[in-house]
Amino acid sequence: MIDEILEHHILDHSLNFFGLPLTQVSLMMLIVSAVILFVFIFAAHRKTGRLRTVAEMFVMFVRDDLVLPNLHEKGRKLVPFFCSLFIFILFSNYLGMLPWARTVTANISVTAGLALISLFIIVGQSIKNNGFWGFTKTFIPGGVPWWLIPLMFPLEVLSLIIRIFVLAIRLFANMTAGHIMLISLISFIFIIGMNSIKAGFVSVAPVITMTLFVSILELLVAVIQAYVFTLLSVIFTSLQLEVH
Amino acid sequence: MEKLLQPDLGLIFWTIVNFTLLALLLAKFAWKPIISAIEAREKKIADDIIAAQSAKDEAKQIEENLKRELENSSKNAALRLEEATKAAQKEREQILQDAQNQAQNLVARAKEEINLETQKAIAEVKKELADTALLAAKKLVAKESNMQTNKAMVEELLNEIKK
Repeated sequence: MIDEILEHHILDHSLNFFGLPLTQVSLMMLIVSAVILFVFIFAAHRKTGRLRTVAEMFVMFVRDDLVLPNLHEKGRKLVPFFCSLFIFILFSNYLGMLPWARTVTANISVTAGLALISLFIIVGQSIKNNGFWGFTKTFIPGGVPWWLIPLMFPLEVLSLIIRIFVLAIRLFANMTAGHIMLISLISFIFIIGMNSIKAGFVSVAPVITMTLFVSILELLVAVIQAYVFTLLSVIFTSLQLEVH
Repeated sequence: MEKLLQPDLGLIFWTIVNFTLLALLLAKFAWKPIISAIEAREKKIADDIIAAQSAKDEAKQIEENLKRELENSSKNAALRLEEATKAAQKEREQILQDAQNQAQNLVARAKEEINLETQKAIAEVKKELADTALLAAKKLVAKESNMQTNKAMVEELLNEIKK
């Protein structure tokens, strides 16, 4: 039964939207994008105000705490991309907590898409800065004997693929885990209620308290995961920029 | 549950398209103006800091110059005061010396004048005595018969001399 509830709440479902190939997740992604565009374009065209201050603080945080310490001056042009990545994941995580909304980052396809974009940026920046030959050299660790290169090269390529794969899995798993926790906790009421309706009623208060606690934890996890995804993307980019 | 881990290529594609468009629009219409404003403000702050540092250095330089000038002025003033004191002392001594000399001259001249006046007075007395003696002789010649008269005349003459 829980499987059905989970599949209903987490899996994507096609919507019959005037014949368009629209799914619940893609519709939610469009809504998230529209909200982000509205909020930040509005903030960017204001000279003062709280929203503008928050937007500036956010950009300065991404630039000074994430991008520049890892990528230095080479990363200055990438600040807008990482700002977009951070804010998209953050808004997706948060907007998914609203009633009737979906957490798009709890879908493996969405996180895979984001991870592929990160991969594209990592590879693109490495080729742009080091050239194609330089890019291939980034897969050969420094100080490795020549006879080990045939073994190390595929391992390093695999390492990059795994990093990207883990990037997608980490975000998906964290966001899905929170939902599974919430659904499982609420399911307790019905499982207990099937045995005894009175016991079911008694279990409502502790279960709701725990749900509230997990929801608050989810608010924290939403920020942490957005931060981790962006930070790791920055670090992987910086790793791939270094030719050994 | 397995369906949770089955990626949907269509959704991956639309995620990439959606995010790419979002990133491009945000970069152009949101991040660019915000980053430009932040960088402009940071540049202004950096310039202001440099200007403030420069002004501070300049003020320090001026302060040092003023201090040096003040020290020089104090030294000059002390030197001039010393010179003026010395000159005044010298002048005082000169004035005193002159005054003493003048006083000595005056005293000497006064003494000389006194001597001259004394000698003049003595000469006059002598002349007066001679005239008186001559007058007495004349009177003696005119009245030689009258001894008493002569005696009275002689006494009178002597009284006049005593005076």
